[in-house]
Formats: sequence, structure tokens, C-alpha cells
Amino acid sequence: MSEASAPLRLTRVGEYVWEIPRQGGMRVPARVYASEKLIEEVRDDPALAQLANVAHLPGIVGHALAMPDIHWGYGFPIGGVAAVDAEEGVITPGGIGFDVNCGVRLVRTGLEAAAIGPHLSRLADALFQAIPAGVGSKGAIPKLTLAEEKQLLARGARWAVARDFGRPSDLEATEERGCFAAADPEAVSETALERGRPQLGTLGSGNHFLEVEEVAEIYDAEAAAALGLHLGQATVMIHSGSRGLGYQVCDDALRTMGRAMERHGIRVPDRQLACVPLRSAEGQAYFGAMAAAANFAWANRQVMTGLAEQAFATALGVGPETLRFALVYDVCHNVAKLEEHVVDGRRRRLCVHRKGATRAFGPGHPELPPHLRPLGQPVIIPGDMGRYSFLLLGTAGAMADTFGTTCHGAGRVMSRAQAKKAGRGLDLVRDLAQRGVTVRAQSLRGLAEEMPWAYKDVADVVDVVDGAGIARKIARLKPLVVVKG
Amino acid sequence: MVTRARDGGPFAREVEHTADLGLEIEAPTLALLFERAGLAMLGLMADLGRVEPRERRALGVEAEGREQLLHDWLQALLVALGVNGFLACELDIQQLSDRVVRGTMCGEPFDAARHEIYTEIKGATYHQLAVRETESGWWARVIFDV
Repeated sequence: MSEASAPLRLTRVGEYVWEIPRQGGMRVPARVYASEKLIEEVRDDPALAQLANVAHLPGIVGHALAMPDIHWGYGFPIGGVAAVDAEEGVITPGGIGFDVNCGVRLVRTGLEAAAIGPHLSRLADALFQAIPAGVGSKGAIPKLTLAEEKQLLARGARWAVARDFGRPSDLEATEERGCFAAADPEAVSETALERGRPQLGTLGSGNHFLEVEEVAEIYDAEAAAALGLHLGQATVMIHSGSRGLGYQVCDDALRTMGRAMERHGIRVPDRQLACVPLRSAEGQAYFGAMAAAANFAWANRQVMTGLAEQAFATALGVGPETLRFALVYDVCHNVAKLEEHVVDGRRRRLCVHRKGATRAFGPGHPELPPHLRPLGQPVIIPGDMGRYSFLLLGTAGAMADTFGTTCHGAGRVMSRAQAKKAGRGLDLVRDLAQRGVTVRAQSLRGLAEEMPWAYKDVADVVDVVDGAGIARKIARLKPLVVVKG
Repeated sequence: MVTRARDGGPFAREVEHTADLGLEIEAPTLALLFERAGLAMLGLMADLGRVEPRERRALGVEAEGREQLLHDWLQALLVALGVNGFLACELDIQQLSDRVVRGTMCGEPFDAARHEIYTEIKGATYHQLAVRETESGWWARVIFDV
């Protein structure tokens, strides 16, 4: 159970599915969704050994899964999925990630891309000014008190909507309706609360962004129309998470669990994979704190939606009746949820860990709001800032094969250090401008780490999940404005 | 002994890691290793050459074992920046054992007009975290979540 072990045996079991058979202490086999091209890119990567490690988790059922955007994480690969029995299995913060409920939302507008084209520079400036970004930036709500913060942790996006950020209908279009009922603000440490307080309504840096996009291609006109989308329409995409609060919740849990594992008779090769039984006191405390951090992230994205709408209004001189902001959907791609799935013909209650993977419930799922139930759950897949992002829908295939899960993004191919080296001497801002993308970033060096070619082509990733039937393509979105922390 | 960011020198080397950032640090003493690790991490986030040592603040953590201690020391520096807006450019450790590290950091409040932030580090991970004694002193590896 280590990353340096002998090469893993990888067998092709379907056009887009590869299997690592059970070996060593693996409790279940592992499966990777990939094309031939993508599997070659990952074959010698430590990510596959990390996936095999995931298959050791006590209580794991089915297969340890990796989506086509799999890449090397810490402990658990990014793009990894583990479904464990809710009664007998474990919960691992490493299977969720530091940025609890890191996620993406897509907002449709009443604007046409062609009409706002001449004003993109002004719009980019307004958005950059309105949305606080990374280190040292102050939150959108500077005087958040501890009592308000705890209310927010209990209520999630509802807290933000009640303060006029966005509108009530946005909640229907958010996973869990923007509020994890299991949230326990009292399980969140003082340090985590302290870290979160100045950061509500901030984007963060790294791969987080806010984009104005154009619907550039539609693959299913009927479904797109049902989601209120048409060719040439302007949309807004926000990628952000629970900021320092979520990190601290994860870090606190890793420490507690590191100590508790011995008592529970659990051993792991990497402290980052620390886990405890979900039903244990430590497991329940973490679940409550994680859910509270998830609520922080939903409130955060909801606040930024409101700020973005105000920035549009200021920059374009139009009112809400013209902007017609409406949330298409908001997904989390770093989270664990209690869900029911059929495993070997039996319905079971599972704790599904998705780390860099997106829930993709198929049509008819009772968790979906009425307007989305006939369609399936919208899945938002951000790409790199130079090319495109995608909107997909969840499928029955995902329910049958991947615990209702699909990919989450492009996945990196270059380390940040490599990207910085590759970007030396390049004028990335001008290069993006030539591609029709207006960029505003806090740091050019930070921007270089996120250069388009540091990522896989997200179209390759999306083609795999579409081809494998674990999501289906609805629309392609082209970036017009990118705001980076 | 005070470690200053502006003294430059090969404090640390960046580790290639696809998603995140990592550092390997070497130093003749454990205290110097902690000081270098702290400044190297902050140096990934900001141009410390533009930070003035205007204000001194105490910084200390207690933990079980050297690795946890290094993790928590780095974490304390991140909290100083993320919560208190304080950017350190000098570190001076006065007390260090396997369970406690105490010292001071010198720097100034973050000022967006003068300080460039390259990227935000959310925290130090436990993935491949190591602190080892070597023939020439001490060595550590830390992978950061960004």
C-alpha cells in the first residue's frame, strides 16, 4: 500500500474502462474511465497507485473509481471516487479534499454575447473590482460576526439569498438546495471559524475563477432549451469553494483521525488517507463540520453571484430585468454525501466520497427538483481559461456504473513549476486576448501556473464520460472574460 | 539566528507535483530548517523582497513530533497572513524541541498596493511530509495544497 510499489496491472474491460484487479490489501478492484490517449498519460503516474490505495478503505463497495481527469493528489487521487457502506465503512477527509465543496455554478443571463462584446474590457474591470480574489483581499461582508458566521454555516446558500445575493429560485438549482442539513457549526474549530470570517464572498486563487462565457455549441437543442440556454447567449461560471475554513476543517480532522485510527484498529500508508468509522464520534463530528464547510462554500458562491450581477449592472448600465440572472445549476466536486445506490442488485445506503468528481444523477432521481427531474442533473465541467468549458447532464448509466458520478474538469498535465518555466517570456494576457479572452488577474505569475496548456484538453475528458454513458454533452461554452485570484 | 528572505540563497527547491506545490528544504540545524521552510513557503506566495521588516510578532506552536511541528509552524504563518494580514520576511526561532517551537516573525501588514501575491497556499498537507536528520544537517519535504 505505497506509491512506490511495483507497476500495477491494468486490464481493459470496456471501450472506456480499465481495471486494476484486486491485489494486496485491496478490498475491491479499481476502475479508471479513460480513452487510450488518456490512459497512456496516466499509466506511469502515482495517481494509479493512489487509486489502488483507495480500494483498501474499510467498507468500500463496488469499485474504487477514477474519472478521466484523474491526476496525482495527496493521498487520494484527484478524480477519485469511493463509496463506502454508511454503517460499516469509514469516512476519510482525504477523499473529500481540503477545499470542501469546491464547486462550480453556471448562471444564464438575458444577454447576448455579441451585444456585450464591445464592453468586455469594462465588464472585466467591474467584475475584478467587485469580486475579492485571493490573499489579503477582504470579504464581501466585512463585518461578519461570529454569530452570523455560525448561522451561515447552518443555512448555506439560503443565508446569502436572505441577504439579497441572488434569488430564491437559485436554491432549487443547487445540490442539496444549497444547504446540507447535517451541518454542525459547533463541530467547526475556532481557527477554522477565524479563517472563514474575512473570506466570505472571495474567489481564492489557484484554479479558481469567474468567467463570462458564450454558449458556443449545442449538442442537444431540446435539453439546452429546457435549461434556458441558446446559442450565442452570455453565461457566467464561478469556480470556488470553502476557502480557509474548509481547509482548516480538513486539517483539524486529519489530526484527530490520525490519533483515533489506532483505537479503531485502522492503518494507512499515508497520513493524508487518515480515516475513522463514519459511525464513530470522530466520524460524526467530521461529517457535521464538513457539511458546515460545504454550506460556507454554497453561501460563498451565492454571494459572488450577487456581486457579479451588481458588477454587470454597473458596467453595462442595465437593470435586473435585462440581466435576468438565473442559476442553471451549482455542483460540488469535493464532498462526501449519504446516498442510496444499488450494488450487486441490493439497495444500500452509502457514503460516497467524490474528490475532484461530480455527482451526475440521472433523469427521474428523487433528489432532483421538479424542473430538472425529466432531464437529469446538470453537470458543469470547467476547462482551461483559453479554450472551453462544458455543460452535461447526468445519466442512468452513471447511476448504474459510477454511483451517479462523472468527471469534474480538465486535470493538470504540467506541474505548477513546469508551467511557470514554460510560460517564461510568453505574454499570456496578449495570447489570451488573441483568442478573444479578456483576462484580469491578481498575479501574472499565478496566471502562468494556470496557462491553458498546463491542462489536458477538457474535450478529451468530456468525450470519455459521454462515450462511456456516465454523462451526456449538452453545450460547449467559450470564455470571453476570465477573472482570476 | 535570524533568517531573512532578502538574504536570498538556496533555501529550498520546488518539488514537481502535478496539482500542487511542494518544497524540499535543507539546513545545517533544525531551527534553521524551520526558518527556511517558513520563508520558502511564503516566498511561493509573494515577493518577499518587497516586504519590509517593520513589525515583530511572536509565533509559537506545540505539537507531537517534528513533522507535526513543522506542519503546524507553517500553518501558523499561513494563518498570520490569511486571518491577520501579516506578511513575514524574517523568522527567528528561539526555542525548538520535538514538541515546541517558539520564535518571532518580522514583517508588515499586507498591502495590495506594494505586495504582489503570486498564488495562495491553503495549507501544508501530510502527503509525503518528512523531516529527517542527514549527514550534513536536516532535510524536510512538504507538499502544499493550493
